[in-house]
Amino acid sequence: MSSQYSNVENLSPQTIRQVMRELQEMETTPPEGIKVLINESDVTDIQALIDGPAGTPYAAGIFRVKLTLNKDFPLTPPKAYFLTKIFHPNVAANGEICVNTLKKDWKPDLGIKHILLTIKCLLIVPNPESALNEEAGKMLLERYDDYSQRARMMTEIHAQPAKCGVGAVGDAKDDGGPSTKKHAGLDKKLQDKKKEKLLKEKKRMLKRL
Amino acid sequence: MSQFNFVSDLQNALIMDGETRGPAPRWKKKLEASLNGSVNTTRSVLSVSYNTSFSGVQAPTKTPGKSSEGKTKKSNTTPSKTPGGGDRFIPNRAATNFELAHFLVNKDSGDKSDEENDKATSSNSNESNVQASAHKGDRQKLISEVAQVGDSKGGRILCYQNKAPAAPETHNNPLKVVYSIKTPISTKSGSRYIPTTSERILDAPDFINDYYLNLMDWSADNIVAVALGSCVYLWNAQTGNIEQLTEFEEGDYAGSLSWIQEGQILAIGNSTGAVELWDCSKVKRLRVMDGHSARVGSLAWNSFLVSSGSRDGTIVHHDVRAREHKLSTLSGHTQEVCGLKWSTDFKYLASGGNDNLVNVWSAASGGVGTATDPLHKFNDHQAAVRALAWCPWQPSTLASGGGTADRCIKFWNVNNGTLMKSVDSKSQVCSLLFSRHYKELISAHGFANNQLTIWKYPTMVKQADLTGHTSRVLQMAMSPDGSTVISAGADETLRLWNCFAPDPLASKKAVSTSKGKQSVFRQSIR
Repeated sequence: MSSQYSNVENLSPQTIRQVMRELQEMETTPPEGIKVLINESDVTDIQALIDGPAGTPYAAGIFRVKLTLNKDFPLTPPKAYFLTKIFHPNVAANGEICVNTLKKDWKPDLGIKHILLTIKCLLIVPNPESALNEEAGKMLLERYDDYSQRARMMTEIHAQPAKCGVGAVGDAKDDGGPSTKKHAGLDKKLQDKKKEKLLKEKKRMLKRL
Repeated sequence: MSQFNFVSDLQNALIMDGETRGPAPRWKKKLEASLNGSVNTTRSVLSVSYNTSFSGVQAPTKTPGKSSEGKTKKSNTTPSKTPGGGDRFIPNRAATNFELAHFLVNKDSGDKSDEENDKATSSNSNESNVQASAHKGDRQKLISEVAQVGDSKGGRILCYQNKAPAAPETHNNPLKVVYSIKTPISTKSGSRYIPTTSERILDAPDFINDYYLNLMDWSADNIVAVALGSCVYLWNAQTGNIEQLTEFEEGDYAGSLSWIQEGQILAIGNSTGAVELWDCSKVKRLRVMDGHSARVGSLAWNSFLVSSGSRDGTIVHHDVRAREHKLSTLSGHTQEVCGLKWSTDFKYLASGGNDNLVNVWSAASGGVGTATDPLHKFNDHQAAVRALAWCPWQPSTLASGGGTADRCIKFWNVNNGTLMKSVDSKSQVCSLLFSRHYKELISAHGFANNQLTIWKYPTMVKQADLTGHTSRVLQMAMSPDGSTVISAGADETLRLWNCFAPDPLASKKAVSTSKGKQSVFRQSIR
């Protein structure tokens, strides 16, 4: 629920400027296997596509990840969610990610890039001790083959690059049912106005930066 | 014997005349024969002897003596100057000498005429006439001497006069400059004194630092309601008493506070999406009204109607008198509604949201609440709009302030939906208030100065900056008498600013207007 709400006005201008620079830097020189989708109108909503690492059950899959910056960012860590369904011990059913970097080991000077790399590393080396998905945790410890097989199956179903469009639609639904309903109810004129606003905001943001 | 004396005198006079004729050619001969010095001396002795023998005829003898002295002076001065060798100085001195020469020449001609006159008078053979003529001659001589001296002095005076006017002309210029410098300093615009330091500072621990909430309000009964953490406190501005109204359960908090116009009932929007009504005089909760699926961050009263704006983007009108309180739901925003204000004449409802929109809803004709479609949509702001204020002396004017990416204060004419003015305040605008006593408004700002700014409306000239908050100013509220503004900052302090204190002359008018307003509200309730 809280993921669909924006906190732009609660961040200081320096924080907004820094996050925008980081995102643009990652867009120009992307890290390996990570693609950032910049949302000009909402800096606190950061989405990225992470390629499944080779040699893992998640290989050949593309996973959509969402970061939500809190109002106290960077003092408090952002919340991370998998928008694509995934079978992983450290990912809850609603997609919430549990990782030490985003919990007790958080430091204010860590950047967005570090967080995304941490999430990618989590796909390589799961941590069964702090498992949000208990079933996956047990299978990882007791029957790795079954875990691997199930993870690969989920990857083939939900994280196929060919179905990226379909996945996007699903992600939109996951983003928020009420918001999509509202969008359906809105007129096209409103959508056009929003687009115009987005363009204006992009220009404004670029000028400010 | 006396007769013989007269005859002898007459004969002597005749003889003297002959003698006077005699020395004249002798002097001339002396001048012609300058070689013989001794002969001249002897002749002069003879003339002296004649003079001493007859004292009555001294006057005519004096005149040739003086003339001779002048001539000798001339002869003496010229040879002395030439051997000095002062060629450069000679022309100046010669010029002055020439002037004297001219005067002396005029004297000689005068003297000759005087002598002729004397002769004529002597022919008349009157002693008195002779004496009178002598006196006249003396006077003329004196006058001529004085005239010569005066003329020469006059010439010098002319020289001084020529120099004098130049100096004051030069001196006048700097004086004019000094005068011109002084004039702009004296022209100062008369403006009222605004104290730029806070009158009082209250502690507000755990004040939620969230741009989208409205956590403070000042009632008509002079009570300030403020939400701190999960509690709601009431502070009596008159007595200074503090009492806790309520405390929410763990995790819940108050998202917005709003007093009814009369001041006894407080509406609290909480984080679960409900609107609670509290009777603050009895410290009792009256009712709870649901209607939202997310927290309620903004509230606005219209007599018995309370409008709530929520994070789910909807605005709900609640009739507090009816069992079925939910009158209508407005869906004009796609994101959180963080600003909500009824106009001073209660004809319009203005709402600002996190989707950078300002919607103006017109009051339903005949019924209660507003139309379900907005009358105007203002999308000029580039950031979330939370600060909204209606102009008290011009009810169709709405002021809105944008967030971090916008920083502008814009003025709208809701009659025709046009943008009248836009001012860049250089900072995030968190709250706006119009003054009732002056045509001014005050704005609360965030990063970087965390100041409150007072603007003169409609010129929007900045009057004063009220500084003191060390973090951004989140909320402002006006006292019921319109003289004091209380501001809540993220630095967990409440500061009171006595920036709109009315003049004693205008206070009477203010009292009368406030009475009028109260009566209007009471009538509306009945």
